[in-house]
Amino acid sequence: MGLIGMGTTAVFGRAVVAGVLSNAASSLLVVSLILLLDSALFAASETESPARVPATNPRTAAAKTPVFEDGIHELFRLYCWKCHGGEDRQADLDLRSLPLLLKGGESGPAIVRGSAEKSHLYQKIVKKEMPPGNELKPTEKHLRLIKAWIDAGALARYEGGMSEEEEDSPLTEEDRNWWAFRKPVRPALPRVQQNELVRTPVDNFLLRKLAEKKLTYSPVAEKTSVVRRAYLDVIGTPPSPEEAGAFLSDESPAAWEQLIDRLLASPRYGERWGRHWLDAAAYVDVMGVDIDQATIYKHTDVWKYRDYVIKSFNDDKPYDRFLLEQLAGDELVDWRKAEKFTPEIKELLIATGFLRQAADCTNQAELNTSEIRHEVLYDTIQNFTENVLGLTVKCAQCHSHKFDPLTHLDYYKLAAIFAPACNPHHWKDSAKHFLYDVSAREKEQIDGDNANVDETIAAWNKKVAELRWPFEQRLFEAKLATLPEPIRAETKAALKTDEEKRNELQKFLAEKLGPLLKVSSAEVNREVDPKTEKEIAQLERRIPALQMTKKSYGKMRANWEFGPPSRMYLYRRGDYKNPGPPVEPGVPKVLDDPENPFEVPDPKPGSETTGRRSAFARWLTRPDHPLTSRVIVNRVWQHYFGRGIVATPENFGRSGARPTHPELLDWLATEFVRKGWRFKHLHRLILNSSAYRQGLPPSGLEPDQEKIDPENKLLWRMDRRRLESEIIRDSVLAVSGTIDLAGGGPPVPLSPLPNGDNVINMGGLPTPSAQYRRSVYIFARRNYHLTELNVFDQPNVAHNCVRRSQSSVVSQALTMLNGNFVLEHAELFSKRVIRMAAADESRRIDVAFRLAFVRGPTPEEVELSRALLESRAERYRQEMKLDPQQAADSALKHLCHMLLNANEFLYVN
Amino acid sequence: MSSFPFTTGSRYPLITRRQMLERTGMGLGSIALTHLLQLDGALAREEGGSRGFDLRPKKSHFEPKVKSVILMMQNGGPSQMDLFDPKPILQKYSGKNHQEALKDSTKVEMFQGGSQANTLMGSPFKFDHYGESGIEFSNVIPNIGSLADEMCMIRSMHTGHNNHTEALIMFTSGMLFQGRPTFGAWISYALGTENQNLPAYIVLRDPAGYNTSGRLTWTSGWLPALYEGTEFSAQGSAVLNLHPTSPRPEGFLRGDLDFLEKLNRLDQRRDPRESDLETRIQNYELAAGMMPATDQILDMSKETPATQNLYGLDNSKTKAYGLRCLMARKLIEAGVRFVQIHPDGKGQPWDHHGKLKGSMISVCGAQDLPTAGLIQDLKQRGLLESTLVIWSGEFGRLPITQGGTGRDHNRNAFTLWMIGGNFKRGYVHGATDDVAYAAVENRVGVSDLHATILDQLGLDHDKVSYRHSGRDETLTDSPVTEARVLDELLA
Repeated sequence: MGLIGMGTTAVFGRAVVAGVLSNAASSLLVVSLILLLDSALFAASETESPARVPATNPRTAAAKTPVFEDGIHELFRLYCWKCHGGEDRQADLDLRSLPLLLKGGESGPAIVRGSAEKSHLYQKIVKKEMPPGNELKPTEKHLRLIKAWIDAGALARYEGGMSEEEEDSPLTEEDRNWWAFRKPVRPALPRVQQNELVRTPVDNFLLRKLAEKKLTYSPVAEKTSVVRRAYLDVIGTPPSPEEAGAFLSDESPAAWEQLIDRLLASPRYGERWGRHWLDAAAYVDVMGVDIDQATIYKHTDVWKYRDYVIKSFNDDKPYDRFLLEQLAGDELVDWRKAEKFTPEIKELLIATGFLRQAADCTNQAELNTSEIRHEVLYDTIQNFTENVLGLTVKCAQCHSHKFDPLTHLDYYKLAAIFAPACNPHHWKDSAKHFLYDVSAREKEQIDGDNANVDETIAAWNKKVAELRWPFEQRLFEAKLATLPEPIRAETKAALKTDEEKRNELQKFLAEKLGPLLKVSSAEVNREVDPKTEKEIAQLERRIPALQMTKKSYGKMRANWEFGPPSRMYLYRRGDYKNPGPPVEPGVPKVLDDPENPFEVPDPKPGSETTGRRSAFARWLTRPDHPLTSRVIVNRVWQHYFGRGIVATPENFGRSGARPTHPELLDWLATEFVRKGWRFKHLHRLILNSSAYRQGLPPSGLEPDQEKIDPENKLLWRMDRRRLESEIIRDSVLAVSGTIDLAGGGPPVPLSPLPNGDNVINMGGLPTPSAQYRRSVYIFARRNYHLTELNVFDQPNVAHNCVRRSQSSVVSQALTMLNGNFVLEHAELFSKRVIRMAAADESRRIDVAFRLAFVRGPTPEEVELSRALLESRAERYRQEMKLDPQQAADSALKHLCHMLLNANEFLYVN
Repeated sequence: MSSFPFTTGSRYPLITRRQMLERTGMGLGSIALTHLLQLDGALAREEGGSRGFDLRPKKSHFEPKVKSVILMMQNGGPSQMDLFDPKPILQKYSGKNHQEALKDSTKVEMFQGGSQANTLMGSPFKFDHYGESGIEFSNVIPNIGSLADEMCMIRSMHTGHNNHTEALIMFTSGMLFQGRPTFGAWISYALGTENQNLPAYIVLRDPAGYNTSGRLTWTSGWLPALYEGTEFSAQGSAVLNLHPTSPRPEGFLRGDLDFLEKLNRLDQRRDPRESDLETRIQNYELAAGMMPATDQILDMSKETPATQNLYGLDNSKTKAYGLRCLMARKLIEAGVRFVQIHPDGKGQPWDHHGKLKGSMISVCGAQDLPTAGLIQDLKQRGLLESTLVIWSGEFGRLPITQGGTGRDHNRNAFTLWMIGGNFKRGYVHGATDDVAYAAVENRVGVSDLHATILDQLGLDHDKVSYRHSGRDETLTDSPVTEARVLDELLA
């Protein structure tokens, strides 16, 4: 208690002390806080006399009879745990809890309750055999405390077993019956009056609920508005005037469905929807916590996971398969023994990068501590559960969840699933934690072949040198002959001697005369005879070709098991140095199906992986899993309507929001599974509905609807949604006509500037147009995003994000008004308008509006635009002395710039 | 245009959310009630987006002692035993082995290598008593020493982590790991700000680059971005993108913005229900208002030479830090809620693993005069009555030497001082052991400090809450940390 009681920082205090103390991995020293232990921890037990303290006070009573958790464990932590705590235990002895002490190690139980004299551990310490060598020895006072504790019966609050209610509270009917923990049941389609509005079953559910309140949809939105909406939602860029025109002029009844099909077939679809998943997975291109703007710890080749995600969406990979690959791709193929990494093997290993997104700064030696390794494991669990299970389980790390039936034990059962591949006891630091993208055998072969090539090239170079040698020698001798005879031999000898071995005279000669006698390769070239020249040329010509035959290989940030799996314990109060009972891998009891419980099959003999994650993925993707389908369907919905059917997509528990349309959610979830977990089917159900195509009520405002459903939860209209950061930037690029649609590959690099601006690193681009690539391909950091993205709520990736915020802050206005990026593209946009509309002013206005908003301007807007153009042109003529055409062209920049700033541009409506 | 003037002396923007709702015909009842409850802090506000969030001044829970805060965030871990916490025993045994000299089994904990010999290192600086209170300060900070009688000094602070980032995140957000809002962000969220032409929370850092952990020390975490610290630079453009790189001809912006507003109003007419559109329209006015307001803050020509000298602007050594201190005063004067000043130098200016003496002379030399100047100036303008100034690092340093001339990180103790509010004056709280290795008396953790700072602002730390991931989060998270207001620090 002591350390804890002293300050307010109880929770971390304990963990950190432990972390630092246990940091055996680092060369740094184990540390003692004896001072603190003495002055604060044990002060009470030493100084308070029983006479002064009423026996009824439990705190002081505890102080009289020492209890393991009240400080004794701090002493063991200090003196013993380095070798006998946790996985690194010697003599199979672990001193982290009373049951472990009683179990003991190779020499039997460590203590005998009630007798320090008979306790092996105490004897070892008293005789100064332990701690060994130069390790810190317990003080007399601490020895007395340990003795007193054992003699008093070695009391501990945790005696073993699963008795404590906080660790495994029983489930109630109410727990099991919480809507999100029951299997989804496919409801019948509700009948509706307004059948003409039903285009997909989505409408049945929505219209039914609206009708109950005597409401209905708003009319279909303008075609221009709805085509823009579909483009931005499905592929993330606005339609070009041609693309919009094709749809606008298509009068056929199937025009809309065909448009949706075209968009879903576009490779841009995967970039748009892959980005949503990358948010949920907490994808970044950096290693570690990314704290300093100017320091970028790059991970090599991690973008392969980003490309995997995009490709998976484009391929319409079933979600159950997508999850299985990401959780356990490494367990699906025997890549360890594979002769060759096939594209399939590589894809499966790259997919597992999903579980490698937690901030991991263990590449820095000082931070490669048990504490931080555990934190990586916890973050991995959090990223996963909020994303896929829609549950916030973090609380259960320290205690059973306050609102939901997620127990302390449940948390560690889950941890036991992830831990074998994220094992604090068998760790690879984050810089070395990767696989090559070729098999061990291939790598050996390639390394060998490359070495051979290098050897051959070296031999050729040597041969070339030999061929040149006589000529070089001849030139040298000629130069040497120009020196006075007496020093010739001495100088020659000096130059032949290795630099370090030269004596003082030789040093002098070499320094003074060396340059004079130096034969340049140009001189040799002139000297060689034609026959030798030809021979040399033949050899040299072959070198680059041979060089080209060298093969290379890349890296993959994969997740796989290495080292023996460590036993997982329930960490009491979240402290890994305070283990309770051992825990088997499992799933939260409330989600498990008693009829068909989760099980991890025994791994095949000789298997180097536990199979826990693949068993878990298969359990997750059971067709009737209560959460998996609901959670993902809800997020897809959220991306279209701005709010999920459950408004808290990360939390389907009791403290989260209730579904506005539970039947619709279950229908969509079951339909999604029934049709093979395919996203594109789900997209069509939503996009082709009347709900998605509606606009605003005719008058703009319907008092009834406002009164009945002010938050538009029933979807009587389409709400405006501000575009996400990437989509704003991509739209600017699309409108200016510069967008570079090259897909995949290494990210576009960033430059952090001292003024806090983060810009594209123009020096690091493979092609000039790469600066105009889509935002999903820009180097992804945790905290220092490209400025244009940062101001528009690009999430900081301490953890994952399943729901972005949509702020309106002044830095957005400043960036759009004054930032170089927007100003540059406003100008490019105006040039595009000029190319398309020539010099005609009304045509220019028309084209500018169509490019920016898809629609043409209203007469009022034409009027305003004309006034703006004229006033700007006037000033350019008067003050900057531009000729009328130049002035009109310059004025157009202002119009284009303001259109990019307009609300209509920044929102989907 | 006329209904939305952008430079206004009013404490409130001319159109409020409530007026907005009235104008658009929305029912008021429940929303007004919600709003009132929010003011009471009785209801945790829902997360998600900016809807319903703003920077207008909010009522505190009870009568505040101060209205604004200046945090002088001293990255790197200033050495307590060389500045504020003199230790005769450390001086006496300087050069001796720690355990032998003190007959103590304590082996000092190191973070990096270089301290294995466990050799005590006395301070290279002499200490003097200052003021009537007689608080001691080392002779590298005589001007700060002259503030002794104003000061509430805590010698028993601890953040609990030995790495800069964790300790900085701990100090600013109350927990060790990234993601949570800093206390500046919480305060902006709870109280808004007086001047609607300036951000609520402003950060003044060395224009040459960020200190370690950069933006993490002023992040809004999962609070809306509105509450994040805004970086103001004393050099070049004060705020990123406040002006275009190549200057825009006079008057062009106004005309462009007029057009933009009309365009946005036409759009808004089609969808008057969406309050976000209004916020965004106003943001452009705020942007336009910020340009002159900021230029005014940056204009030092209005300051008398005496004032400029007070901050050391006449001396190249003190000028940079002095400029940030002067800007801080001007920002506080202009009604900004929270100003955070960072020291000169990228990285970790106080991180003296080696050559401690010379480096401290230089860091202190840059800060000492301007720091005292700021306090004096605030005082003479009556601003100290409503402003709390906090000077702190993220952890302290070890009593033993690292590599002969430096000191390694020490998470067990550091010194912090505050001036202003109801804090006791000329008062020293807590104590470290004989060599200033660990805080042993009246240890003060960060959450208690945060609770006490909020208390000075009239806020109950348990009531300023925000709903995140299904939990009503607070700065201090007192169910876990048991945070309390430290009445013993208050007069």
